[in-house]
Amino acid sequence: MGLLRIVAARELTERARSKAFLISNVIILAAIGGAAMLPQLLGDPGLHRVGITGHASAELATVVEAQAAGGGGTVEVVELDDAAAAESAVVDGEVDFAIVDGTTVLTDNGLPGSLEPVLQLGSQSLALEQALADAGVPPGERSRLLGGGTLTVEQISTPDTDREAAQDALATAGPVAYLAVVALYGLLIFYGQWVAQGIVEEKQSRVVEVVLSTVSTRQLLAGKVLGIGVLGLGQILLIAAAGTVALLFATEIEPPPGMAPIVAVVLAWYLLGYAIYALLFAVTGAIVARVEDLQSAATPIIIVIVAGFAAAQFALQNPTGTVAVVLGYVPLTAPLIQPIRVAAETATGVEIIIAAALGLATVAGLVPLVARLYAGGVLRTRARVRLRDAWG
Amino acid sequence: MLELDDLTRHYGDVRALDGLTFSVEPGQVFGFVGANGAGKTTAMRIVMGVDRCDSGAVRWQGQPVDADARRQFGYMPEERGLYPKMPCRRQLTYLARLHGLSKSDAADRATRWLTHLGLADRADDKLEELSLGNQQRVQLAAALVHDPTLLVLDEPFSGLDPLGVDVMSEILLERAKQGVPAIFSSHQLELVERLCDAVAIIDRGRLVASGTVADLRRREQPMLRVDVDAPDPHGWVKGLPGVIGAEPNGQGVLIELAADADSDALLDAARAAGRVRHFGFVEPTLAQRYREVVVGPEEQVA
Repeated sequence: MGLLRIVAARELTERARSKAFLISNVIILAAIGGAAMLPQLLGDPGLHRVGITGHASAELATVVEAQAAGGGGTVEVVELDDAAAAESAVVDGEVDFAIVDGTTVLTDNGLPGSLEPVLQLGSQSLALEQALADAGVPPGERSRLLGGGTLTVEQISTPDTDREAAQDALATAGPVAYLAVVALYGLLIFYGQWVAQGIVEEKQSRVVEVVLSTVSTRQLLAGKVLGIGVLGLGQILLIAAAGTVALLFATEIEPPPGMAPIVAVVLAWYLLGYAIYALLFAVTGAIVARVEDLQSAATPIIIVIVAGFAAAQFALQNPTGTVAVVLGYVPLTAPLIQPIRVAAETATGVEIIIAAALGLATVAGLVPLVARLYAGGVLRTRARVRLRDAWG
Repeated sequence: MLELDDLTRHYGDVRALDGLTFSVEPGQVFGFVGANGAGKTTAMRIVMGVDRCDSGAVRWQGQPVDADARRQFGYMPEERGLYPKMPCRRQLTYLARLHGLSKSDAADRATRWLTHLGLADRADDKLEELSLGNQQRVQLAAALVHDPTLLVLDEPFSGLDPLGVDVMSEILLERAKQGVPAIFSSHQLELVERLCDAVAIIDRGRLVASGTVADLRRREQPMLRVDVDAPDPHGWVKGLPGVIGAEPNGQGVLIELAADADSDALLDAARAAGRVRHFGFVEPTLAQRYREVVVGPEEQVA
């Protein structure tokens, strides 16, 4: 255990001093800071400021308000004196657009989203109402004609309540879960490859024979995987801390109520996912002779991680779908899917336990296999070793 | 004492070691000689636990060697290697700790060895920033940093400049004086002859000769070199009792004698032939002896 700790400590400290680690931290903090600052820099996209002149415009503005409320946004109506004031307010950016006398809309960037047809419809019905009033139709009759539509909407299929509940949960927790999965994806690739690279560098520099005259192959492999894994854990904690600080102080977004469980799940699945992938990457390091050849040997593993990441994006859209449920159990993809299933509040306790147990079983199964392949390959420093020879 | 007892090792169909047996006494500088592929590196790697043997045993102080014993050994593999991007002092400290030293002891020893080898001012430079000669010194320090109980050095002199050879030789002899045996392989037989107390010569995985350098050089049949000022410097030897063979050697003659031959009678015959300028037994160099035992006597005739 003492030797294992010494090996792990070297892996940790030498890499913590490396430029790659320093730069990755700077990038992560900059990305989190940037993401937190962005909404403030762009302003609240849900808020429209509408300038109006004249009575007819006020009625149109109520149409805009109704439309905006449907989309979850708010509208602030600013009364302006005349057309000239409206024009300068639009140019100065005081309002997003201005409605002049109910007949003209002034805008400098075009109308947001689907507002134009809404305004057109609104102005049509205002004109119709005016025409009906002019024709002497009484007000009650006018609103009956114009107001309530005669169309009834009937939903004939039973709603997928599970899916709706999951999507409701993701509406608040989704961004956090997504960022966590992006971080996990990056860390699994980054730290997994670091394990492979560390192994090849020891082979290529031939130092491995000196080291293995003092420690066993198992101690060296375990020390490397642990040391690099702890460094990765440190980085994911940094991401979680920086992300929480950014959520609490730099943005007006409320942290979702399920934040703590999500962070805990992400940390747990980082540990499991890292253990699985670090062991797989270790095999590529053990069979390859030069760092230059590592990329091609590691490609199959990287493809699996990328596929897992793609599946995670899919799961974010449909957290109760078959893909999300099944891949949430598969140990190679579970680390990237489970955080989303938990954030969507669709993962049951049983599911979480089974998925974690499968992950742990995979690690337990990989350890002797990888240890044997590593021991068989790590001292063959001259050329690439076939898996069968490393096993033999 | 280090004992290699009947070691065998196969790689597929290749027999790398074939019942290799020899031992290294305390305080001995032990030379390990043989052609490329004779099994020297395999034997040393088995001693260090970096390779395993199919059968046989390695014993240290009478006990089968284990990881704890090996941790006290110092090793320089044939293919040199340290961490290129790690500063010298830090990696020596790391290796010393793997050999079981405490953190502060390890750092002290690392600094002391770097100073001893004239690298004090480069201690915190990355290894790859040093010249090749200085990298070799750090490699030597890596084998010595924990005050090993046994040194196992595979070709320690290869690639060293003459000054490096001197430094390495001094350190080997100085360690030996303190009772630390060293086993090293080399193709430089003059160096082996000069440094070693004992030598093992191996060929195709088998020990073909071993013993002290003096033992190895002594022949079963003594050889005499005799220089005589005579019109025919070789002819006088013919027909003398006890002479097995004779061949001209410059001004004189090299005479192979039977083990029980009377050398005094030979001296008398030489005096009768003319003025004797040189009369003495010739010991072969290790290199000559090596060629005899490795190539085999019958091939030598041809």
